[in-house]
Amino acid sequence: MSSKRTAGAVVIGGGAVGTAVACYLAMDGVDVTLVERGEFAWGTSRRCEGHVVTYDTPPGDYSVFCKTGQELFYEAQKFLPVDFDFTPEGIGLLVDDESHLETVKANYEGKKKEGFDVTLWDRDELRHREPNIGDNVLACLNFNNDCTLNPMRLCFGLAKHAEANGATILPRTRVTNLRMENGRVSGVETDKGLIATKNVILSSGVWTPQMGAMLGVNIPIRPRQGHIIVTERVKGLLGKAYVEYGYLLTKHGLKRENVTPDMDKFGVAFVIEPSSAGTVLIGSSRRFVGMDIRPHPAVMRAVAERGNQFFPTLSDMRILRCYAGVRPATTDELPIISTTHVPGLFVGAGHEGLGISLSLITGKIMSELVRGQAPFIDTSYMSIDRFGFNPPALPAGEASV
Amino acid sequence: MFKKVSASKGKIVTIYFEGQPVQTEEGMTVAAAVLDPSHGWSRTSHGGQKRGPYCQMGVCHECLMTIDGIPNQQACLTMVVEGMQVYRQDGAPDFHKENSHE
Repeated sequence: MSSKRTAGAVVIGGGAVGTAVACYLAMDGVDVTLVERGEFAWGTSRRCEGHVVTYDTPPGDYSVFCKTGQELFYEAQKFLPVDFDFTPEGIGLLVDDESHLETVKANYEGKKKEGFDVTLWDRDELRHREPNIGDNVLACLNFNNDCTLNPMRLCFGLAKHAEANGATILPRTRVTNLRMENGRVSGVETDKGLIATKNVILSSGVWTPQMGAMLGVNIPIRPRQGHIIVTERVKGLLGKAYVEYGYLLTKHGLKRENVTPDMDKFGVAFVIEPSSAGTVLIGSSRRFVGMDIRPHPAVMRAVAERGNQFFPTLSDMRILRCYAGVRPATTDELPIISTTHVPGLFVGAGHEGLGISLSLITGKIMSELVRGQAPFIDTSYMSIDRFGFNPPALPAGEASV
Repeated sequence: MFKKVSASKGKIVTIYFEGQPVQTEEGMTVAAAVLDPSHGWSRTSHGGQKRGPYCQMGVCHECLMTIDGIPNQQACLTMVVEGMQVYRQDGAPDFHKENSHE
């Protein structure tokens, strides 16, 4: 890389969101450069499950937004140059508490009205489809268009496609400073030289606040840690991916009746995803422990125990490995897809558990914002200004050990 | 390609590899027996590539085999036993309900 270069726009971050932003900008003809300090999917996007979901939003604007974002994956599957293990087999929302059934049924009606392909299985139907399911599970609300994919392959595919459309991709390039001139963004300083540009898009997940701080812009995102357990390879344990309804409750910090104190403390909710290689990914947990990504045995145990409550046969399987990651969380469960009070500085971050799901739509909207167009779908409620003008940054939390 | 380091001779045992009898020595691992050039590989990945024992210390999981009817066994951590039945694995093994608590 020469010591000085120019770009129409610079995207910071090579995860699912950053590579998607670079991809859509390039497809829309913008001279874009993507800067990633490590390799693609280096941070959060390789420590997550690859779900593209609509199950975890109540009917409403955001639900339709997620659905629109999901449809883009069906398109991207056709043009991306990398097979990203796209599996559109649907995801089931499992109910193990009678008191949740009413809400889930209302959700079913609401989603159906919004045009979702949803089906409701009662206990018998669920047992028929999934013989290994636990006897305590009462019903399953299926989101038939929800899908799973391999997030790392997605990131590589998006970066490759961006490059094919003229983008410059710079992995192993660390941002050291952001520049401003005459009240607007003017450049990105990296450890490999200066990139002069009038547009910078921060898609650096949990690292976004430190990028914003370089220009005095506070971005209220904090790291929320999550664990995933990977089992040995088998086939025939289960037909598709499932999530417990309690996942939605833990996401919003609400209590559940039928969990152990550790499950409650660590925000453990059952998520299971069979991978194409035969391993099974089991999650999840949520806690604020700073940037700590060391797997913690007590959390792993709670995740495994919760898994056994839904699929008792899991206790016969061996665990190959466990990993933890940090998701970029805002305080209201909505991402920030927004311009900022600094002209030329954009934020596409804070998706927490929906970074993979909303990566493509974030990319598409960010391209529209950078090119000065109105987004094709309303995103005003995802503006950073909803937290007030330049709101204070959030504390990161403390290490767990 | 592979040579036994120690000259000591253990008791000769017969194991069955893919149904065929194979003479080996007590104290050897199943993986070591598989490394014989005439056998070579232990399993296939889900993409169909052949995989063989690699790390020999329980880390890489490349040597997963079905041993005495139990799938996903780490051949490098399993000692040969007279009459042992060893089969290669083709992709991920089927999950059988009889393995479960029921």
